[in-house]
Amino acid sequence: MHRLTTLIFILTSCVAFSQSFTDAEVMGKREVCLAAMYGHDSWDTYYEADIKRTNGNIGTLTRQTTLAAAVYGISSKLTLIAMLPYMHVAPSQGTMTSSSGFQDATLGLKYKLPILDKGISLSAFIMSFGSTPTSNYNTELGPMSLGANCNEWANRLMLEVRHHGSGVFFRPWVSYHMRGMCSLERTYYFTDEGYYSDQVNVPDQWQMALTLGSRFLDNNLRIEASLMKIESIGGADIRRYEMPFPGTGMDATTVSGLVQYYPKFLPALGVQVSYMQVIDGRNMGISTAWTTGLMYRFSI
Amino acid sequence: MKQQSTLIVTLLSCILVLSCNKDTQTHISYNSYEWVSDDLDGGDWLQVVIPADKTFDIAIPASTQSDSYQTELASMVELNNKMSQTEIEIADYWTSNPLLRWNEIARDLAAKYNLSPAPNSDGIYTLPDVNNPSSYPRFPFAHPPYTCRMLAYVQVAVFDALIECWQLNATYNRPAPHKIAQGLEPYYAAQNLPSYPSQGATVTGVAQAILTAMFPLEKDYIAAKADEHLKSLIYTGSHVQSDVDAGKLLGTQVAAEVMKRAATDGMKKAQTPRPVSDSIKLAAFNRFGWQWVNQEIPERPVGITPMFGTLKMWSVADVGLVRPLAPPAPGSEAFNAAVKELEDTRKNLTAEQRKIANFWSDGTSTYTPPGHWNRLACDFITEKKLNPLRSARILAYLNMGIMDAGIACWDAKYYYHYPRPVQAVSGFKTILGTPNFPSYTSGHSTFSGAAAGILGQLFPDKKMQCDEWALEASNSRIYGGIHYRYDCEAGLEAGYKISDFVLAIADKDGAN
Repeated sequence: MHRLTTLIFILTSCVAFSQSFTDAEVMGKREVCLAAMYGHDSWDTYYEADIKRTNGNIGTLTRQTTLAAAVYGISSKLTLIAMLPYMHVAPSQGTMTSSSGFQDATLGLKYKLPILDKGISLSAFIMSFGSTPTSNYNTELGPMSLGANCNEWANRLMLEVRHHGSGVFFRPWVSYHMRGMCSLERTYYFTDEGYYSDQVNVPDQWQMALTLGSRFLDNNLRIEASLMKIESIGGADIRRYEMPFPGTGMDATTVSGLVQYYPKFLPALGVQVSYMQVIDGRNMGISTAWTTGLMYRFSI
Repeated sequence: MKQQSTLIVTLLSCILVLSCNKDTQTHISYNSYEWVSDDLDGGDWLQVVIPADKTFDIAIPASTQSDSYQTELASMVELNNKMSQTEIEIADYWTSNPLLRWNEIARDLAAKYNLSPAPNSDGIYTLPDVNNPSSYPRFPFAHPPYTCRMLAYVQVAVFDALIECWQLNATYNRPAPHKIAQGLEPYYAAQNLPSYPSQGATVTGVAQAILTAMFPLEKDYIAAKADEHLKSLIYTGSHVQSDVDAGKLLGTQVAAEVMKRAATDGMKKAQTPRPVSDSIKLAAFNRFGWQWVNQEIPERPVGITPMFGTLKMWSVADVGLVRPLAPPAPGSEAFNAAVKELEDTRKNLTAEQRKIANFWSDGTSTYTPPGHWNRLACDFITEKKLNPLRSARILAYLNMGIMDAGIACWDAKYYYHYPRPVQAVSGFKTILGTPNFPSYTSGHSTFSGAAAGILGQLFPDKKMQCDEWALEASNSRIYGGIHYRYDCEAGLEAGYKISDFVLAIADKDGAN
């Protein structure tokens, strides 16, 4: 659960903080983990539909995120996760404003289903998590918006294969993200055609990833690398020289790496650093992100 | 375990809150209605462009006793009897007042084409080329001046054509099919008007011709819409084929006549080349000591239609009659006060102010403020159940006023060439994009003043509402950080002044 990687999809997205649901950790019963994370994500090039471009009226867009998270072991198999991010998004050029505020809060459950454990263990994880906007942020600021201002409900299935002897593990997962409507402060918008409504259908998404990694130092150090894909179901492209919009369909392929360490002398305290790079996409910033965080574990 | 299930229930309840309703509307559901009056004398009303003695080449209709008419009627009755579900949906879409739908189509086309051209890789901006509409950037760029003019020509031509149509209706007095064919039940409420030429087909003939001229790349789309509507006039039991053909022909001919005015109204030179734009800028600098400079990166060297202020107006003899006094010089006390208001507003922007800024923003990929006011007018028209001729009259005067507002506002913009807040105030940032033309006066305010003045007079019970909306639209630009208060106040005042000129014409057209 400690992988609270703030993998942020700069061109507004509900999914920014679903990422703590990507590891194979569950808490012990009545065990609590509190985490604080800081993320720095920026791009100066983005895909406008499929066109790779820069924008002098944005320059470099930087999103800084501070995230508070709490995780609780309801049982040894079922974990409850809650997260709330605060963001600041600012362009380096142009006349448009920056924005900041609390984005979407996430609450979710993760259930572990052990399947096999004989030197090699195989487990399945079933996760369900929802997020909802916690502040009335402006969605009309294009990439400077904090998010798409919609509710989301995701269900994810993950498998983990672990070789106990070597510490090597492999995790594939796939999830479907149902996303609700975004309410605009106007009653007409045009994407692929004109809509006489203040309701924008924020496209659903498939997300999938492959992670390979290993544990060292008596399981206290974890190092892993991931390849992830996000695909929107429908959604319009950004029109030529136009801003992105909550109804924009965004796709991305990312590579990321993560190092997490719980020192022997203070096993309750963990640190982690992660890095993420968008390598391909559609209507997506080609962003580079760093996150760093502290975790503290205790039982109640 | 109990704890566990409570949590699961809580989570599931959260999930239920997620909206599963993914329906969004791509058109307004205008309902058909019975016209509150027929205005049988409408043929005598004064036209806007067409001279009174001008006649159109519409054949004398065959008698209703003739074989040709009876054949048409029989085929119409047959089509009416077997209306399919799709045809019912199409009939519901077009309604008994197809003007509204054409106005909506015009608005949607404006939104589709309202995109700023992107810079080339060398930082140079290419402009749309009317002679090569499909090469990027496509023609047209339907910015507010383009859109207000497009709507004005569509709606003036529809009005003039319907007056012509009402006149021919009275002259030939061919009864509507439901008065001849026993047992025919037209899909729309039966009207008392004579049937030749078809009023609906006249509207469609005009709309097709003018919209195709304004959006040449949409020729096929517009033709498909027109054919769909013309066919529906027959299977809804409203008109026989010769009524429809005559209406379409009349509409096309009137449109051609009205477009002669468009050809010579000055639009051709409104978007100037750089040297002309520079000389306009220099003239303002010499006169006032300031000049507006576009702040985009790369800088757009020419603003949107610097010469739009020289176009021929519909209601005002000389644009100088409505040109506001000069704005306060940057650095002056009045300027500093306006800047302070902008900075304070930006710092303390309320949720309500942001909502107003976004609601009236009407920027790129929208139908612009002129389209916004047309949409409101269409709502009034359906509420009052006006017939197509009355509706056309409202929309014609509304759009004449809005276009005149655009001309007057653009005259002020490029005469005064006043810098925008993002240029004049160092480090000032906005929640709305700053448009590519000078600041003084506010286009939204001028358009809205004219629109509210006209609609408030033509719908007296809506006057207060319209005035409130106009003020809100005007203030929205201050909340958005892209206009000083005096831009908005001067614009609103000029707009209302223009509405008086238009209403003076309306007063004398014989409709009251």
